[in-house]
Amino acid sequence: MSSTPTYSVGEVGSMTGLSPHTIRAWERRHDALQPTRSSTGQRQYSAEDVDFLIRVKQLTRARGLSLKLAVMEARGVMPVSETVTDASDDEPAAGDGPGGTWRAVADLLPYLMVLLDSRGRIVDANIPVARAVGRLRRELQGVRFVELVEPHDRAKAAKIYRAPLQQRRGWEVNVKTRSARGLFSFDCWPIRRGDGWLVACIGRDLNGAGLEFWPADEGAP
Amino acid sequence: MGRAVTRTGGVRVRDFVHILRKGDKGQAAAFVQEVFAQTGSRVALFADLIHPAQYEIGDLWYRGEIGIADEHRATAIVEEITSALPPTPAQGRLPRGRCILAAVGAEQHVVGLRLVAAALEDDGWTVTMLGGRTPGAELVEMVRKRRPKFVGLSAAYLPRSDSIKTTIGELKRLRVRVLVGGPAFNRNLSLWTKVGADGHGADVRVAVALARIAAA
Repeated sequence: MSSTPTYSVGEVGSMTGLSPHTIRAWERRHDALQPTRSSTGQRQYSAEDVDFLIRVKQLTRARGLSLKLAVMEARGVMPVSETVTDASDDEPAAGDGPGGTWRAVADLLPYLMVLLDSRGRIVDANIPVARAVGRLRRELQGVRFVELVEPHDRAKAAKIYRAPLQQRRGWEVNVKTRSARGLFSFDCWPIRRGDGWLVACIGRDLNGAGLEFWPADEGAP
Repeated sequence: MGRAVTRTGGVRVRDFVHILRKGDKGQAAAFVQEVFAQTGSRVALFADLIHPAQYEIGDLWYRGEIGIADEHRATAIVEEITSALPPTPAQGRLPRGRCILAAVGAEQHVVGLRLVAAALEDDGWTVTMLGGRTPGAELVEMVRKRRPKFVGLSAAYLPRSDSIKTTIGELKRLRVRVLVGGPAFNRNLSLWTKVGADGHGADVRVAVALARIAAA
């Protein structure tokens, strides 16, 4: 096996469970694949092509995505909203509307991002916050921000949203994360909404390693 | 809940994910049995239902839509149901030789590796399963003694790839093929080349096909 193996359409079929006809059809539609050709004109697929086909297949079967959307998602284009959701889920899907799109972007960033109301309650948070503190995002809505902060830093954290509101930079606060160290540097901006104000807070990890997407101590799936 | 398999042979993974999210073990077992009866193959069941469902559950956790307890419950259900399935040897299979499967270093997640072990056994391999947290040096020593045709390594999370890269380097010096798999490699599709592996089994069906190629 060389470091860059290639596979025939038959081999790819046995690896993916897709028929050669389906593989060629997916290849034509949406430019899903661009196999090279051997000297005899046979299609040659790479290991990346195999991985790509399996991911597309998973997305069509597990999420019911159309081929077009599955191809986009498998390519790493912005996550789409057609996910399996319960009827009870009242959380807007990540891709719904421009706001949802920006929220999806916020979910990708390795920063803690929270929106607080004037009483310091969380209006919204990105997924890194939920993962850092070990809760679901929807469970965070309405929670007081100071409840996520180590007791000795709560008075300092409360200044973020208490009047008089002001922009704060480098506001270092210890967050109660699931790992031993949770020191974050928050930049905070008051944002007018209607008659009131929200405070947008972006926290950078000061622990050196950065926010882990798959923390080792929690059993990554 | 309707049929588990469509008339065209497609497996309704989405319905299975819904059942796993509910945590209904009885319904999940019935669903798996229906797909198993239709396909008659553990490889097909694992590749077409279990793997995509597990991937989706992991992704739901990653997106913050389910908690870690929900993810663990789904994994426990899958593990219990799949471990009870009988072998389904491939027709006309040949004895293919020995292989060793392990998760090295701190890695403890081996559900996927167990599915790969079952799939390889059905394809005629004699599998030595070392499980999780296998010390790299001891794996190398066992390979030196048993001379398998290939080694399969799994990783769910690789904060640093140096360790597995070192282990793979030592295995390659023994002229043994090394295949890798697991979520860490599925999330970063070029990682298998960076750590020096010979192939990446994105699911059990690919792993079985690559194992055949490795043995050829």
